[in-house]
Amino acid sequence: MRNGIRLLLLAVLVAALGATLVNAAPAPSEQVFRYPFREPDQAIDPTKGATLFNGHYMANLFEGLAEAGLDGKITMLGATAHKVSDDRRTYTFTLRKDIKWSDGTAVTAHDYVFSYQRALDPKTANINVSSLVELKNGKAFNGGQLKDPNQLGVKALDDYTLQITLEGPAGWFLRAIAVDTAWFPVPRHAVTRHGEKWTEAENIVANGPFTIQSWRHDQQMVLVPNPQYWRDKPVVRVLITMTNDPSSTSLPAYETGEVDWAWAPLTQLNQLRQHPVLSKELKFATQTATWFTVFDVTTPPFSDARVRRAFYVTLDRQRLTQGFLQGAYRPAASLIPPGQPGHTDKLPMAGGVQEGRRLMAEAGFPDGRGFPTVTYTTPNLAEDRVVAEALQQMWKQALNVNLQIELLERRAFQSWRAARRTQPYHLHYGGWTGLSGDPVEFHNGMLSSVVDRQNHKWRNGRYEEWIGRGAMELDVQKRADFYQRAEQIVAQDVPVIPWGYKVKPYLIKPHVRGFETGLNGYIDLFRKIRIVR
Amino acid sequence: MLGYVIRRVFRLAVVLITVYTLVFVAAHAIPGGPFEEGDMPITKEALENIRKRYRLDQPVWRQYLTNLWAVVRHGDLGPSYISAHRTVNDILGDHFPVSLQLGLLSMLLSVAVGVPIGVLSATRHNSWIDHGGMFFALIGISVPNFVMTPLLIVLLAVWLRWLPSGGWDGLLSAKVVIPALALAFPPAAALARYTRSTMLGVLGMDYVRTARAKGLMEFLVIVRHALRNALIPVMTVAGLYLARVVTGSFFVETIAAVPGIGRYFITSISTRDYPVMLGTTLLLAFVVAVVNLIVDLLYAVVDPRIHYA
Amino acid sequence: MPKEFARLPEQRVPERGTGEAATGDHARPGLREAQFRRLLRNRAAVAGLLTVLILLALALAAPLLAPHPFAEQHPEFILARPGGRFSLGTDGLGRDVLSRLLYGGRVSLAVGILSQVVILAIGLPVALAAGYFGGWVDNVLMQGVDVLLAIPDLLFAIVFTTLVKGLVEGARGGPLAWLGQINRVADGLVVIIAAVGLTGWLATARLVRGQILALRQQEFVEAARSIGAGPWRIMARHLLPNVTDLIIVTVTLSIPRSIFLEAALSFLGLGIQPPLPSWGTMIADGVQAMRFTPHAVVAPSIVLAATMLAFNFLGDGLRDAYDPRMQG
Repeated sequence: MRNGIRLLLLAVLVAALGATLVNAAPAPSEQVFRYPFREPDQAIDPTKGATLFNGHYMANLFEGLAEAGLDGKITMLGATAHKVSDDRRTYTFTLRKDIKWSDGTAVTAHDYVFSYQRALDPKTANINVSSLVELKNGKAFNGGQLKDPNQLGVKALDDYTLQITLEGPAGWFLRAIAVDTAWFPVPRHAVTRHGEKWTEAENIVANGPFTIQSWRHDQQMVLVPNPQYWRDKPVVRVLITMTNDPSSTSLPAYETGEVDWAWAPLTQLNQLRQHPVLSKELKFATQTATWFTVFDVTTPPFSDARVRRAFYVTLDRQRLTQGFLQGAYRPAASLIPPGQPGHTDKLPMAGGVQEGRRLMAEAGFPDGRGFPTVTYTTPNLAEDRVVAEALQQMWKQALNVNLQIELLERRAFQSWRAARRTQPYHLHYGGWTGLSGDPVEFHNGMLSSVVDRQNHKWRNGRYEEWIGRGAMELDVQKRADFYQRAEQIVAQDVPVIPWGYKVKPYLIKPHVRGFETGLNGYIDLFRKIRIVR
Repeated sequence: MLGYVIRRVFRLAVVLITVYTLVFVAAHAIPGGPFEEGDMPITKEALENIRKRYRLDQPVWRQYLTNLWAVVRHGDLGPSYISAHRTVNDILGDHFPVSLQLGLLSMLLSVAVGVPIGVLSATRHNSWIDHGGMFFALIGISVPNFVMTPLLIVLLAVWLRWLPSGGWDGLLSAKVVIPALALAFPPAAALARYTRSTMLGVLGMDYVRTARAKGLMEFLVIVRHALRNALIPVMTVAGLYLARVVTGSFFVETIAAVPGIGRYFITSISTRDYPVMLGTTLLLAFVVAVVNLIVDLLYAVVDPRIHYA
Repeated sequence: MPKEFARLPEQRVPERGTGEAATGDHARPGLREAQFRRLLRNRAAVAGLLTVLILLALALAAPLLAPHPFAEQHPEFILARPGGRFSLGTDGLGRDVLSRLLYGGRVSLAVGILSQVVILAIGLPVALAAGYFGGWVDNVLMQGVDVLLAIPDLLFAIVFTTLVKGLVEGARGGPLAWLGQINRVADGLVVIIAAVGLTGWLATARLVRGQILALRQQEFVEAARSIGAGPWRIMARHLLPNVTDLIIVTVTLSIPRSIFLEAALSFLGLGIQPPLPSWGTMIADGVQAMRFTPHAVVAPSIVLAATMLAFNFLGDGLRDAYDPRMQG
């Protein structure tokens, strides 16, 4: 036994010594960008769940027909030109002939056809079909009513000519193919050969600026420049260290120099702004995501539009987003985020306490008297809790109403909300993320009574008309006008109160140049990064 | 002895199936499923497709039987709903070894620290060493590791710059130090307490007095006679902690960015990834049972009076 | 520390069973006094007891002592450092940390102490039945406890919080309606207490069952049986009074575990409903801001650790006082 203990002590000593001898921080070599992120949730396969978090990986590995500049301008990428038919439903793309997959195979129109068919095939079980369902027969094929994939509105007229037919005219279409990774192609030959495992490091074939060299799950992924890439090849290798919760744990690694980029913790933004060094490395990217509060417009007391409007005008966006949330959100008046047609900041954002009290009095609740305790339901994530507690106090002060907070675990919240389609409630948290950066996603795809994703149960004929016209219109100026009218109606009738646009605060080392966050503010692009020392 | 082991293994099988059943029922009883409409557009058809793919559209009893059969017959724990490109077997295979290595290291560390502190505290009963040692032990038990881990990171990595802030590069990398320390703290503390109290009991025994009377060196008395006899309860405690530590800690693994199995366990609950939830729980129950069996068998080695028939 | 107490005693039961407290039928009054004196001689235990009493007093007097309302927000003082208007600084919503600590103490102590009621309500009957009847009853019950012990308690706690929440809050009418009412008034306290209690009874059941098993063989139980006392009477009149010492010790040592579990649940976002604070939620929020403003996490962590320390000291002291051989 004595020997056992002695051996044990020895082993510990050796292990401790070994640990200290191996150098702590890896030497930052030339042209390596070290970046912390999450292990992708779903596969990093554009045909299987184009969520924004995985979009991150996909956008650096794959490229679609077009791309969007940070100013929102769309330029052709995988195609050299496109023609729109007279009925504005059919788009014909002439593909570039010099684009190859990383194994040297050419990217053809057949790859696109294969991708969209695969993405919508019920057997693929793609959770996020996104706007692909707007392809002709997309919904029927995805729903299993239509079996023949060739009926889908996508055809290869020849190897380099792709024809896409939509259900109806779509002002959003070009933006979607440029930004939404669901429209990116996958390599037909590799997917057929390796099946579900085609995205693993040893199988993957990509057409974007990077390809995967190695991927130890939940530990590290190494992206290397794609040797076949047709534009300027990237100069960096990207070392993605994968952690469970990068948004709250990457700051220490950033400070010790283990990574070159970090999520700035939202609760420390004030302190970061005052930090002598880090304040210079702190950057913000606006994301195409809007946060708001949802009412059940059929349940008293919120069945009275005056009450909803009173809550609307007394929500102090400035104080909420800049004060409590330390600038992690930008104050919002419209659902449509900045940079998209129809966005407006001309609606009231604060200071309506007098008006709010007057409206409440008109509705029969002078100084909050007789107003029942209402319940605000929200998921229990850290920021959402801050928002809930801030709103609780804000409305208490302005209108003297009592808000009770009901925190639910995230999945429980989602199923709770799904059940509110038929059941009554008072008000709940709302947030919506646009994939392609087009207003259709916030109005036609969410608020419209046709889909009613938030279960507000609100319907307004004039509103439906404006957003219907906005979706079909191809002229950007006119679209902006239609959607602004729709926003005016929302501000008057208040089924939801938009209050903030999500901002992504991050830290980046000064020796990293050319880092971009993409149009929707979510997807970081590594293509142009250079390390300058 | 062999018969005893066989009986234990049989009992283990029963325990595992019961655990599987209980967790299955619990998983399906909590509200919310793995695929729900979130804050992005998901169509009704897409939801139906993915539920059908994972047979979530079937009656729950049939899902239970099919899945259980796959586990029993092929050891196949099924696909992960959330890490869709990997199976649960892949996930356990990738991440359990990490937790295991880290856990064993922490356990070595805590034995190496905890037992000597306990022995010293007992032999210097009521001295400042004793009080200091026990104070350390109680701190170790009282500070939750979701406070300890960030504390160590801020202190050792950010302020002092001695160590990297976390991550995983195998046992010989400095990255292992912070998570290992954080994991080792509670077992070290518990071992110190138990060693001390059993040593106190043993030191008063006749045979120790006899050994002393024989004029044996104090060190030998303590190590050869007292410690040896104090080992059984200490081993029990060590075994309990060993099982817990090698199956990973959600808090330590998340905060120190260790790709272990512990965090999969908690995240699978919040994402309703039923197969991962079941797989990790089974693994945990299995490890606990195996460690207990080993500890029980070790009793017989340490204490010749114990026999298993 | 969840499971260590569950297993240890089992190993030691055979050596025990004749401890002072367990020899006679009812504990003698003189013995109680001796025990109390022994407790008072133990400085650590006395310190623990005093700390516990002070904490309880502080929590009860929170409305009198708190310098600010615990929910009052000061957006211009977000995460302000200690000193000046806020002696312990403010949290992420600009609320006074000291006031929240005081009110949070109410929640944490309430969860710690009240969850013991649930633990005993389940654990004692199981222990009595298993220990008294022995045989297959014991086998089945203890097998069950073993199986449940093989499932990590955090899983239990998470599942129970979600389940109980649905049950209690869904019960607008029905037999549980009154629970739902209390729960709504108490910001979800009932849910947490129930979940923590439902998770924690296993260890207690195992421990007490061991003691009962030993007592069952004692002469006074045999005597009671021979004069025709039924099992319920024996359990209530003869067995239960003789395990009170053990129960007091177990409960004292189980309180810090409940407090800890509440904190862990809060850390995962499953704790109390805001704006009511608990030390666990304060830690969970504070950890996010640990890098530059550690005061928001340090204060509740120290108080939490001190509380657990105090209960552990007290529990150890009680154990030593009742039966020195019980220690371990």
